[in-house]
Amino acid sequence: MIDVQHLSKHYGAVRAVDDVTFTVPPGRVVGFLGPNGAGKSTAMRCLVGLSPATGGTATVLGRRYADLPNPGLQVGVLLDASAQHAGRTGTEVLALGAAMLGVGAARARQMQRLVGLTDAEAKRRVGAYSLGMRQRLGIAHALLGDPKVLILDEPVNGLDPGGIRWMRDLLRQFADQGGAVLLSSHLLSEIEQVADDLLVIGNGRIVAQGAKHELLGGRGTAVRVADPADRPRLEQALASAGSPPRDGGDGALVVDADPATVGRLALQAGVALAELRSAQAGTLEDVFLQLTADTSREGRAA
Amino acid sequence: MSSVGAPGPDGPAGPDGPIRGVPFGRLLGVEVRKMVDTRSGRWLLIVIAALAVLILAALLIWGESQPRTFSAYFTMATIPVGMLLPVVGILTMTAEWSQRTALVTFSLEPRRLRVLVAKSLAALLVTAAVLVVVAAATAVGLVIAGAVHGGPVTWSVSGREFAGLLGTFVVFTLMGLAFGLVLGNSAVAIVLYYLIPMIVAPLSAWDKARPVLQWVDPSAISQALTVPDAGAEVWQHGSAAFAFWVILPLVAGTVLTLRREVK
Repeated sequence: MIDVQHLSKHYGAVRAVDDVTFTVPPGRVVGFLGPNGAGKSTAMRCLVGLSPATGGTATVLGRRYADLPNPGLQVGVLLDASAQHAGRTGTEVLALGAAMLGVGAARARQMQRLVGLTDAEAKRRVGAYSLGMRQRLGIAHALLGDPKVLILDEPVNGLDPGGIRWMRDLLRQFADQGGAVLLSSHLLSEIEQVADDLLVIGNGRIVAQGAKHELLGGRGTAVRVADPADRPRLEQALASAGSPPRDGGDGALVVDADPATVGRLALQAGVALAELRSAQAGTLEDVFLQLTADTSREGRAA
Repeated sequence: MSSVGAPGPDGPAGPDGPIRGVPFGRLLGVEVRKMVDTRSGRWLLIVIAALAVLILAALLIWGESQPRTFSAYFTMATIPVGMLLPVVGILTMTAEWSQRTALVTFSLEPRRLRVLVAKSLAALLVTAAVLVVVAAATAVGLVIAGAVHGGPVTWSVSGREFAGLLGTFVVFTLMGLAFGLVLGNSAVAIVLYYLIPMIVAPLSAWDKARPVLQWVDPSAISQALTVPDAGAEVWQHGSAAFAFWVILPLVAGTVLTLRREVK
């Protein structure tokens, strides 16, 4: 539903977005990840036609966003929750959006309640809102036109834990009903819980993309022998079973096999074990830091 | 870009038939609403109306010797309109950037030219509405003045005079829109809007600067429109000033806005 091909956005010599290609199919939540300044927001602005791209194409529902006749009815966009007139009330912001889309005041009120803004809160001016309330208002605004696609830049920023849980459920439900979601975040744990696919960007380039389980896939089994003298015997047993072990550091071996298989092989080889466990699956944070280490401002030390 | 005013091309079929573009009337309605739904916008209009009423009250109290004609009263009562209303035009253009609502506005209607045309028409509509209110207040003031001070009351207005007055309000509003559009910053646009006539008018009285500045003196515009039989030279100067302070920034501002990156 979102199709981005070789998208580039250069500012002079700076390649803010550099040859980015990805798609967001229906029913999927795609997490757009990257350190600050990696180009996430710029790419999303190009996608929505607010920034002219230097090269490449970006389409939503088969058309350039700017060519959608009434984009608010097809694509829900929240690029910056703080980009609202501080002097308007939440109710007024939603009423303006509803008027523009022609969806009626009842829909505006319905969305206001859906995102958990009370009537009393909605009557206050946006200038007095916390970031979390602005995010809720922004989500309500994005949902006004009952869109098929959501494009959200850092939507969970500033939400309280309850709000984060709510957002996760909302996006999941939206995708399960056939919608497509592209959301960016640097809150890795959030993306990890809601996204189906990941898109990791660093210095404007995509450094990794794919299904979440592929990127975060398990790393086999860690095993440690009770007597260091037995170690070569276990290594040989594992190798002859087709799973040559690697050095896991700290006296441990790491094997691409499940713990039960490794335990059985150790028993057959008559080797006593001190430890046998699943090697810790890579958390998104590990993967993220590893993938973006070359491009992040903290460098390898991070 | 689809033509201004016409709905966009038919889109893919939605649940209620094909999705059509945002009708221009709806865009216009939203832009009018955006001018009056914020504190700053609303208070600006209230202050303009209040000043007009104040002037009318002053005419009632101290204006016994003033001729009780509609056109004299209306000319006086609309002084604050001419002075302050352009700020409404400036703010409608600049608020999108200073409050960053352009992000939302141009997401919902990517055909930015339509938004700009809607904004300009909306500002002119608000100007017209304010003038109607002030005209009504003037009529009430004139009736009371006639009753209090006695004497004849002249209701008839010269068409030429009235058209000239309305023309200046249209020009002032357009100039405010143009300044807001090209400068994109409320404070800068408002300061320059008031400062430029204040600087150009006295300078153009200076012999050496006059040959050049008389062509860009904004006061020539209102002179041409309001002074009876202003003469060809005033009209030439007025037209040049109109082109320089209204048309040029409107065109430049439109080009800039269509290309501008919205952040």
